[in-house]
Amino acid sequence: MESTEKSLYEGMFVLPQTYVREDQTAAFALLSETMEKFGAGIRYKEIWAERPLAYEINHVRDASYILMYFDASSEAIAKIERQFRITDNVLRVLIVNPPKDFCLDTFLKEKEAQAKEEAEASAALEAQEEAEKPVATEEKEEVKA
Amino acid sequence: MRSGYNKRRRRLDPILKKKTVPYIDYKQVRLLQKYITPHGKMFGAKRTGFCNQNQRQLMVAIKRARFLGLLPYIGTTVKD
Repeated sequence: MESTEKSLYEGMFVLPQTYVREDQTAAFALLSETMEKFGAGIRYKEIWAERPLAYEINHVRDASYILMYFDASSEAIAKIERQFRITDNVLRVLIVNPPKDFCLDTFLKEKEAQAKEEAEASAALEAQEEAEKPVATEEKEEVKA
Repeated sequence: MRSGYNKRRRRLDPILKKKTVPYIDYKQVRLLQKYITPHGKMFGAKRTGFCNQNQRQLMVAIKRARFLGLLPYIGTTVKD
């Protein structure tokens, strides 16, 4: 008898960096297609990090880490893990229960706030650069004259 | 005369003391790197000063990070 109760899980997927950099959408599609096949609903996904591996896995030295939060039944988790274990271009899969205090909504809000701050900071930087640019060109013109 | 057992006061749990980290997670690689030797071995509770609960969390986090290739099973750690 299969239970239909779904709960929140945290998944970390390790993929070769070259593969993800070549086609990011294809990498995400590879993961999300398998998840959807087993009835998992993805709530959040991002490239968590790109870093060298501490040890070589399948002759790969650099990896991209994709973090996902999704709802799934406990039966589906075993199937998803099994499927990813035999999938090419997926080096490691770790699916765990999030910690007790973890709340996805607050996590998403924090991420949104972070993204806003970053966007504002980058906009301010761009504005600064633009403000500085004409001055530099004027100076050059003066030198020429 | 000194008594036979160790009377030294135990250090306060650094995580509980600071209250900056709600839980020890496998994604906090920089934090975890503080609690392994250059050869990749975990420090014991006596060295870390963690309470039982946090030491267990640390153990699980380090093992998960090792599996994902974030920390080495053996050998030097990768610098960011």
